[in-house]
Amino acid sequence: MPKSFAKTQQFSVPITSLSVGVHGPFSSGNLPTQLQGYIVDLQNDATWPVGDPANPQPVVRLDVEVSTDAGQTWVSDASITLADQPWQNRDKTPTNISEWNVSLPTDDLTGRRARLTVTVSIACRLGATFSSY
Amino acid sequence: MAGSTVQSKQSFVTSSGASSQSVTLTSTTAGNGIWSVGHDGTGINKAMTSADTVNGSHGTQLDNVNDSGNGNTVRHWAKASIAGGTTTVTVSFPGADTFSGMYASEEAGITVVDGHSGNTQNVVNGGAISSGAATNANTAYMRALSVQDSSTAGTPTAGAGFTNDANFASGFWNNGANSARAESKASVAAGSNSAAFTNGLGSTQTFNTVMVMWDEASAGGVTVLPPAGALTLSGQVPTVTTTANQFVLPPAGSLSLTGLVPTVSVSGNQTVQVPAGSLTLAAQIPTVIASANQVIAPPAGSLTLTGLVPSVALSNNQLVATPAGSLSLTGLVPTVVTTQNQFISLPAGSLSLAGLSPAIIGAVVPPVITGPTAAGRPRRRYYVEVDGVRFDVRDAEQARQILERAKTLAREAAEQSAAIIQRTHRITTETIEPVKLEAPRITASPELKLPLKSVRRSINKIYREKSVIVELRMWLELEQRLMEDEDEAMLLLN
Repeated sequence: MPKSFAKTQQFSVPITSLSVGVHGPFSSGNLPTQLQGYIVDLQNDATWPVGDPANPQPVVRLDVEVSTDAGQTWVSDASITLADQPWQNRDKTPTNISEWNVSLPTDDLTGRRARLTVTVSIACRLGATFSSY
Repeated sequence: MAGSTVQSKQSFVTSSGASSQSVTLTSTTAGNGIWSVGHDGTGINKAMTSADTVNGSHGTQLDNVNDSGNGNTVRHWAKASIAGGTTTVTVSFPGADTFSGMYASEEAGITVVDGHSGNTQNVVNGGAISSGAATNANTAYMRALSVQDSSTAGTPTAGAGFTNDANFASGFWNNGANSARAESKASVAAGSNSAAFTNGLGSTQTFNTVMVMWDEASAGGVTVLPPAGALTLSGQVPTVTTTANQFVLPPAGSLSLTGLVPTVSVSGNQTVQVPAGSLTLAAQIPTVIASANQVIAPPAGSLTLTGLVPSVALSNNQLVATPAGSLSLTGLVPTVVTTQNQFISLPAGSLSLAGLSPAIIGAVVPPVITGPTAAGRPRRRYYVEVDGVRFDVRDAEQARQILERAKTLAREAAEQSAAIIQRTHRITTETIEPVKLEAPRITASPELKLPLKSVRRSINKIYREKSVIVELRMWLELEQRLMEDEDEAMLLLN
């Protein structure tokens, strides 16, 4: 019988203007001992840079690192690069929200933490809420 | 060894335009494989690529599944014989693509890809979802992923006989309309095979499915492909145990043993059996060092030296010691050429020429062979006779040799004759008769035209000189004896 894991917010970075450079890391506390993964809910606004669709350029890179020793050491877990194109739902309608979902081993681990680093290549406005599930 | 999935991870984003997504596979094992799948929800034929930070590009996708009805592309890649270590797998998307996701897994117990397929299907409720068939030549480990890409939420379930990816009990890419399932099946028999999932969603849905089969390690060889310089065997010496003969088959020119000279230890006789024509020692001349006597014992008829004549150089005397009866030189007669005099020194009694009489031919000075003459052999035509002893000779040269020998022996013969005369005259007390030692009479075949007069003169001179010496010696002896007699008489008178 598959376990059911509740989506639980760990930390949130309200939408804000981000200059070019590295922001963070933004860290969680100890995550639940058992979890399937994490979700980063993203939010932008109308100022999101939009470039040539034939030649998309990176705007921001999100890197998630995970620690299994309560934050003493960190290893890279996943990353995503968002480009200078409009966000849209599957039906092609515009949207300002997106959900990034990454799995984690479901091992029974204590002292597991996550942290998010934001590397901005083109200035933008972005918010992120990190949740485990 | 049956295949298995060591670890797997997924990443998925809904609306924001992603140009790449990455997940990390931790502590992968060298020799395993990586399977990655990419999903792009913005259209068909999306040129996704896959790579990881340790092994580089994953190459051309195995399959490109186009779901034109819903506007999706699914691709998958397989990387065999990976280098070990933690690696980040990245799927790159051609644009800023939404509803995009990736799945990456580490596969163990596998070697190389042995079949793959991809398919998109509209499957009715309860129907079987198929990846499409592919043929595997060997027993294989199958991995498959199917994503439900219709507008209705829901996940396919693992097909009968397949194992659901335990890391994703409820599937993944569960974001609104998309939901995927990954499954596996070990020890798939060789033949035409396909992956199956089940549509249990209650309606007809569109499924995009990809499948790959890897040869299981037990079905063939294990290929280890370390990059340059990366394979180090250190610490404890590994024990390699084999239950049968093993073959190392490097392709042409690829096996190099460099650096320190390896030590090869064998505990018993070893046999190197090369097939006809395949052993070539080229480039630098190998040095063969033997610390003790070495024996080359080819069986009958098997040692053949052909092609260019090998040069054998000796730095000192060499002995060829064949046991009794074992040296046979047959076939063509070997030519023995010497540039200077050669001596054959035989210990007493050891030279025996038996069987057929050998013919000895001398181009310059024929050897003198004495001894019994074989019955029936014809007498020679010429002779030399010394004091009535006849020597048959072949020619003048052989006759001269005998005469030279006679001259050499004359001095010794004269000495012996002198000793006899001295003994016979010892009892005579009054006088000494003149001594005349008789020289031997020498004759020869006139046809030889030998210088007999000269030889006789030489021998006669030896005998004359010896006669004078003997007579003088006898006179001195007589005088000594007379003096001794007078001394004895004086003693008696007194």
